[in-house]
Amino acid sequence: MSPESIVFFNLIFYLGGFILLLSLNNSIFKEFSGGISIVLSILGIIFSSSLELPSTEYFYVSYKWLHLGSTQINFKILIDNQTYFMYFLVQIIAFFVNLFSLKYLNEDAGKNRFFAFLNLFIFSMLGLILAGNIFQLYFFWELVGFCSYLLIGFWYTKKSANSAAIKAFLINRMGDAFLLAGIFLLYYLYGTLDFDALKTAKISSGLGLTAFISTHGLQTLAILLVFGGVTAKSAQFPLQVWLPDAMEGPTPASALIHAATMVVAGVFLLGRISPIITTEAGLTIALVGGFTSVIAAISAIFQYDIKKVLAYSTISQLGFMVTGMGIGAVGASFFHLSAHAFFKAGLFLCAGAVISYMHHEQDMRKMGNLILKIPVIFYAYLICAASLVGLPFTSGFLSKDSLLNAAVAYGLSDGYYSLKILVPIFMGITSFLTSFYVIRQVVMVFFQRQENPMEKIISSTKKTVGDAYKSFQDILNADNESLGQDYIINFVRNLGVYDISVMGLAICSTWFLFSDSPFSFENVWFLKVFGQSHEHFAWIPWLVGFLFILALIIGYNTTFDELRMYYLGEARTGWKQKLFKSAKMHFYIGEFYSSIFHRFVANKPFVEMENAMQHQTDDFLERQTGLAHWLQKFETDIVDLFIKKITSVFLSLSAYSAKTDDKIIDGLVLKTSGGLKSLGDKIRKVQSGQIQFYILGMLLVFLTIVLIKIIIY
Amino acid sequence: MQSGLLSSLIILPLIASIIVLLLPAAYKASYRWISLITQILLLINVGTLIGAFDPQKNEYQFLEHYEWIRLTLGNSSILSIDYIIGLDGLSLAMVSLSVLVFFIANISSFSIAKKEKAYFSLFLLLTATVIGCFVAIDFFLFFIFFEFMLLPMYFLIGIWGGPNKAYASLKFIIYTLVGSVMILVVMIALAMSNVDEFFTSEYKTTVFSFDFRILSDTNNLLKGSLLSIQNPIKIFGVNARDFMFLLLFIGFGIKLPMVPFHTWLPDAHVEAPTPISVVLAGILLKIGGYGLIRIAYGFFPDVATNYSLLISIMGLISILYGGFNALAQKDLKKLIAYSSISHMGFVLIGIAAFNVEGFNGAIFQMFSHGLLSSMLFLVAGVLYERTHNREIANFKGLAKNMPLFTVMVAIAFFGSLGLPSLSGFIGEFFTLFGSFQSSKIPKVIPVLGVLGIVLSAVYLLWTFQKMFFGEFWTKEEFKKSLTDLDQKEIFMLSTLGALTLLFGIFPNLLFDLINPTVIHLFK
Repeated sequence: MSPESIVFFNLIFYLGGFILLLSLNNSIFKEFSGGISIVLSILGIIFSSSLELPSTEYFYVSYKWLHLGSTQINFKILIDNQTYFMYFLVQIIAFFVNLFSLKYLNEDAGKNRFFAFLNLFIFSMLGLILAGNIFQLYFFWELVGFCSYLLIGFWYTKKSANSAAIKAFLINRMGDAFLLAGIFLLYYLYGTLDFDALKTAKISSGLGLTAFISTHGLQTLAILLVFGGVTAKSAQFPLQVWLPDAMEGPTPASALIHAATMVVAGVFLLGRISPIITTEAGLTIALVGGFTSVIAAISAIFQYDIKKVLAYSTISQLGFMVTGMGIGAVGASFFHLSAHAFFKAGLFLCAGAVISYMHHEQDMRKMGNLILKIPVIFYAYLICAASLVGLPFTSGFLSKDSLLNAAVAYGLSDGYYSLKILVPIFMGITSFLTSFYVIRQVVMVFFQRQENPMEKIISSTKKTVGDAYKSFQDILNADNESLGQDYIINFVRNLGVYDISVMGLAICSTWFLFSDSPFSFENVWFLKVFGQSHEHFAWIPWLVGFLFILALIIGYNTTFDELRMYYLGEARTGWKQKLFKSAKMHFYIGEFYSSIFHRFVANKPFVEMENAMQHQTDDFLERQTGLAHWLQKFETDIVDLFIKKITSVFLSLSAYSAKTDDKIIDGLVLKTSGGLKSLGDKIRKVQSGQIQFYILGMLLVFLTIVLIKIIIY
Repeated sequence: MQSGLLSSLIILPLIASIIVLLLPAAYKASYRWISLITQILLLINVGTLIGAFDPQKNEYQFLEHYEWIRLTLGNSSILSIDYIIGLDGLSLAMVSLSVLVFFIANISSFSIAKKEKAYFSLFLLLTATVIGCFVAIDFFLFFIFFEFMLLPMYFLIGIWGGPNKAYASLKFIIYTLVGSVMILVVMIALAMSNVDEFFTSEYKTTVFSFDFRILSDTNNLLKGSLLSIQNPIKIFGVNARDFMFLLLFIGFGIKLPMVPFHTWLPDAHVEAPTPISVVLAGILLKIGGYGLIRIAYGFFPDVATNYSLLISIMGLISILYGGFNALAQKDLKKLIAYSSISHMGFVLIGIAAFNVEGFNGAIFQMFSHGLLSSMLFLVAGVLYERTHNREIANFKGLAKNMPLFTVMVAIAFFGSLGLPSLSGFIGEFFTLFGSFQSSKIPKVIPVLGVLGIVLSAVYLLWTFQKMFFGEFWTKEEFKKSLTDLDQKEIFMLSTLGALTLLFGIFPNLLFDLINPTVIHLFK
């Protein structure tokens, strides 16, 4: 089958799934919605497995779409290495998330809606990946944002979820505004929006703007505008504030959309346009990414909500990928992207399982001691977390190593030396902080309080290994086959949906999916496909390991200190408290935006409206500040004033002239001045009064005609 | 070939209007059906026209030409006024939109329960004049339809409107009449300067013409006349051609509406009954845009380019001013009215670009706004019909009680805020895209215009969240009447919603129709 028909059918599956699931709004069919979604997901993976890696550099099919004069935008399906691996990545993670959601949303009344949105999301995400030009990419880019809006606000009766959804959409809209401007400028410069054409495109000559800014400057500007869109979608400074709030959505959705796939769309876009990223733009992108990763990691240390820690961690890791794209390490960045997708989805699903086990408690300080209660989750979590930190035998080790290598090489290269060196420094700091918050989270969530946790780990491991050994022996020693089968069935039955999905992702977070050697990224097939730099700094893994041990010692102690203070009800005071709070609130960046917006653009309408409703007052418009209300006042008081005057003069003039309809017209005048009177059955007479205005108007017109005739001749 | 198919679009509703007028009140119940059948016939006719239309032809099609008035002027020259109607891509798009919106508005009019005879007869009259406006190729004919439209509109708002209807309808009429006068001045000046070469040689005397095809060709200008290009005559110190162009710009700008001539719109919308709001936002505003493209730009192309900056700035102001005002509204219908102003600003920016992309975008934006604003006003009507209240603050958490309604509102709102895959996005994208690629407009204007897209997301999403999410809450007296959509409403909203989706995903359906015409305009 040709690639385009595979892709086409694949997309139709998911879109059809969306429509089907949305229409199953019936209490009986609803129960099957999860099953249908999983079947679709499996079918999708099987179907797309027949897709082959293109033998040439890339493969594309294009269909006539928008032809306006000389502007021709086609619907273009582009399949290259980048498309190919993302295509599978999205679907595999979506499968695990679907599986997990089966149980997580079992009790929810709107679960068909959830699975429907999930399918729409997969459809849009695949569309984004396949897009052959930046217009088409933008098309799906907004659609994935829309799906994210729907899923964050999935529990629509919850106020915080609604606010988070709206925040996510609006901030992404801000980014999209930049991206749109970037698209306009790219087309203006290159005369094409196709990715494959952009690689080789020449700047069109005779551009008007060059008096103020060089052509090279314009190229940089275009990239930075596009990067503006990336900062919103991939949650980079200064538009990262929506992502922590997005955790209000159901956890499986967070895992799929706000950790593994949608948020990396920005990185994906950067990869697509990487051939035309200029040096200055690249440096800016790398610095923004590095800075974001540091501040997000700092904030992650001070969170108490289990999902918020992971959210800030996602921002921080996205910063890594963005940096990678900025320094031109496209392969390493994509490698980290895919490694991150697996382990972060795994971590989120583990968090979901924990939350579910804790009966929707998300405060880590109230958890603890889960190591024995949900051991499978714990081990899955441990593997994924190790991958996040970058410990050996995990995919994270390889990807981080390759990324850090590229960063160090970049930092030591010529040009803008003092700025470039910041990039590896940012990454190093982040590596340390990452270990720190991971250790803090593991200790808080899984370890028993006030006991030596090492003993716990050992005893737990002993118990699990013992159990496994025993069961293995049982199977071996079984007298007849049926007993063994029973045991396997029991074991599988006890595993549960949560365990299977998190274990699946944990396995994908280990090295062997990507490389045959757990210690060297040189052999990663990924980097072979994408190409890599040849410099290799052997000390980097040792440094990461050292930072981890350092973080382990410090983090372990401070976390227990923190927990002790929590149990004793002690609070920090003075500057420490301020510092901690500011870090926890992510340095008040989001608060800063909302205060600016509400002061200068429009007040919070709902708070005001609700107050007005409760107190039955109608004067809240007067108390409002902000541009919107100021303009509204301007409109009613000034712009409208003149015509208002004329109209009332007309109305009152006719009141005098039309003696017969005296009362009615008076009534009309009264009406315009606010006095409401019912006209009732007298409406017929009103008309005759109004016809007079009309005749008056026509007369005016006629007079003007005559006047003009005189002028002309 | 004069098939009469095109004339039937004007004549059918006129006949139906008279039938409704003559039928005795005993047949009251049949008025709406007569009207609906007429609208369906119009839909079928337009469908036939679309099927027979050849977009590649660079001329008016389905032309019908009858001599009408031959007025001998003082100096023995002749003023020729003809009944000429025809279609090109632009007018076909607008006519299709008109019959569709009138069809929907007619269904929505079923709930009118007062003076049905007058209502449906005026409604049909309005249909005829609006369609006439789009198909007329003679300026005089166009102007007659353009003026005559006010009459039914005035009464439709003035009689079936809300509490403040007298004020609103009077305001509407004053504004539009002022605009009309400006257009009238230009019309006379144009006709007195353009000569029909063919008839001039036939009658052996100067024949002045109102024919669009003659007016749009500057070669037909009489030497030494008021509007001649070679030796410009000044009016109040401004070149006559510039002066006339500006008059047209303001005249059609009022109709569009363009800030600062827009204040009639929110009032008219708030007071008008739902179907009339639908027609007003769905089609009447488009006549402003149509007039700008066909007449102002079509007849004064040499002058128009000088004013690109002005027009694009007016467009930008409309976008932002309308958006900010929408943000401050408490009344749902008023919010939608201001959002209309904001969205029509994109049309201005697209036109100002003066290139193929911008014009195409502007026409697409008009078409898409026709679908989406109709949907938005129907949505407001659904609430108003149930509760006689439109205050945003009075509703909360409607999603729980009215799920189907919520889906329809979501389509309308997200379409309006420009979500790709719904038609609003394409129009906004290409108007801004066109103006960015245009050499006549500074790049900063489309870049600021992008802010309009952000603003529309702010006010629409806020409203959506406020009214539909959260726990269900409303005033006690509304609680019982707030039921989900009925069959009629489902039909209207889903038809429009499906079309929005269709044109959002396959914009080429419309672009293929209008693109050749637009390219021809630039030749």
